[in-house]
Amino acid sequence: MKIPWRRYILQSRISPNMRSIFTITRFEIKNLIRDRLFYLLFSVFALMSLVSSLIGWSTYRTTTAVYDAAVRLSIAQSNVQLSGNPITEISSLASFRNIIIYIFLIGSLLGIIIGNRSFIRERKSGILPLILTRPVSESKLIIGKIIGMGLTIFGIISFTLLINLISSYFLPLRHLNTTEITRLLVFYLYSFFYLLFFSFIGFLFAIISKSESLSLFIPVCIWVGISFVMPELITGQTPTALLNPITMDQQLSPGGFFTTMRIFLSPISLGSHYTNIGSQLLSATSSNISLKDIIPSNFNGIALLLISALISFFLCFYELKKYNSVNDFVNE
Amino acid sequence: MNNMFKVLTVAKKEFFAAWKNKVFITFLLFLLGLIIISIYIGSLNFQSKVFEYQTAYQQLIDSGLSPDKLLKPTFFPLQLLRGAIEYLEIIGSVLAIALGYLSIAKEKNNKALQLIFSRPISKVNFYLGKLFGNSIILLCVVSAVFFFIYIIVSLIGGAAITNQELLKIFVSLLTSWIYLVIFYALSSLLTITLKSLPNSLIISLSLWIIIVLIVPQIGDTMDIDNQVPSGFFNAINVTKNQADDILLQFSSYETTRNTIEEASITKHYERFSFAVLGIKDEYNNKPLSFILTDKFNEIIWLLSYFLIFNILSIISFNKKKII
Repeated sequence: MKIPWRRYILQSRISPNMRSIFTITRFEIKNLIRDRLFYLLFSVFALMSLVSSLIGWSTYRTTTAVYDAAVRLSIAQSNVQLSGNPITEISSLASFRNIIIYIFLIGSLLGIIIGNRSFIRERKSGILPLILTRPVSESKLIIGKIIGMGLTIFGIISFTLLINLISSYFLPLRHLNTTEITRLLVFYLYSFFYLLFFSFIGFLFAIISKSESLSLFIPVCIWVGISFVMPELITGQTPTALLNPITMDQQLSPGGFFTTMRIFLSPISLGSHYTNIGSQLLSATSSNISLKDIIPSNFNGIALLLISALISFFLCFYELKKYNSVNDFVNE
Repeated sequence: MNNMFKVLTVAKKEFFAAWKNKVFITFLLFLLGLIIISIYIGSLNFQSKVFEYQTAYQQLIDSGLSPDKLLKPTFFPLQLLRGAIEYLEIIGSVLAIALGYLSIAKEKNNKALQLIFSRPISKVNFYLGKLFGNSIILLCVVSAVFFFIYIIVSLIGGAAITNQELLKIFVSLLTSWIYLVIFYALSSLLTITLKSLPNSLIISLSLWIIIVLIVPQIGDTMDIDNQVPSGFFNAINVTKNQADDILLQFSSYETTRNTIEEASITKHYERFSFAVLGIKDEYNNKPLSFILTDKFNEIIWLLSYFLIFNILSIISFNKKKII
């Protein structure tokens, strides 16, 4: 059924200010939905979330079978003193732990691209001076665009969550109980703000960069700094080891340098907080912390993400106010 | 001879233009900064191993036990390069993608190609000049990175580097160059083929994430031994030999895992470089000839990707109505 949004907005009692914001939001979402590249990236992301469930399930099944084979070996060779299967201590939710990495990698890039395309498109087409001749202020423009970006990211996150829930229902041995579903919901809510932060970064550099390539490459550099450099300085892990959801939070070196780095960088390392909270929520390691304890113990990480998103939002707002659409020219 | 001169002229122009490009310089400085950090962290990790050894040694002496069975950590300077190789894999490839995109996008966007092709130069010569010039830039980048590494490890760190190790560094340098040229060719191929320039850049970056980060990560997380932080087999008290025997029963799973890993160019580069530099323990202190023979498969994979992407980009530049 087609919802008559336009008629609804025009006939409703909402103020003209809100009406123009909703119009921009609608335009933003429509533009993204029409974008074939957005579909392509979204499909890759959705496919990877399905793949993550399958990998988790297949690995769990094989690891259990390997343990059974080890039991048979211990019976055949009496010198093998086998310990209990550590996999049974891990919750069913751990099957989805790879999604932490996919949101961390593909999701963040998708966020940057959503933010980037939302503004660079108008800059390149030179449509902004025209839009601003209408009774639309810069504030309404940015609020409308950001609501549009937020709703799109919310749609992506909800769809991925749905894929996880459906796949958990169909994959044997890995059904989720109510507590686990709640943890998954909290994880996706947290991921929503993580992607929103990266979309603001993409949007910010789409406003301030002189060239289109720089507007994409600078956020990519920031993303590498947040995802790899800071966590490496804190844990001593190499970049690829940071992509393993089981070992990524292990501290390799106890030396003075890392202790100092941990003191100064841990509170501001968004990437470390994201993977840490993500692995606790999805029980990626055998240490199963209850949801009641995860949120208070990670209050700093959650507050950091919200504050960073808020700061980047205000920076976008400030830069858009300063932005001169008349003399603007974007290089490749 | 005339053709060669044209190719060299275009190459020279590409070479000097890149050093004036902000995107390229930003990535180069970022890469060099990360290499310093990674080597420093590698040396700190080794120091902490030495400290752990000394503590354990002292504890054994104090309790009257013999420390003979304690394994003394041995310093291999090339093992410090693990982080550097991983950053070349990740940031080096983005730098190559940026070069590949910019080298085509600049002229495609400002319509300079019409003017260029009004001169007596063929499309193939023009593209070969671009490829040659940018390959030289990437060779300079890789040489600067390895020279930097050499200075840090030998002159600042005081580690003695033998001639054999120097040769291994050189082989690793050449492999890194091949790896970066593959990403350059992939990015220019997409920029040539796709109508929209922003789309070509975004698709290149998406492929970069899939090839460099996602595919190797899938293989790594499917590894049975990686299911528990301390290692699955270690956690259930199974030795390495027994684990190998057990895994023989799961050959199809291991083959799938290996096939997924082999789909990534990055994994081939990583396997080869880690073997040559002795980062993988089984190749440490082995002669180069042995490593080259054992990892011949990886060289063939890298060279095949190198040839395929370069040939495809030359053909598409020649056939495509790029003007």
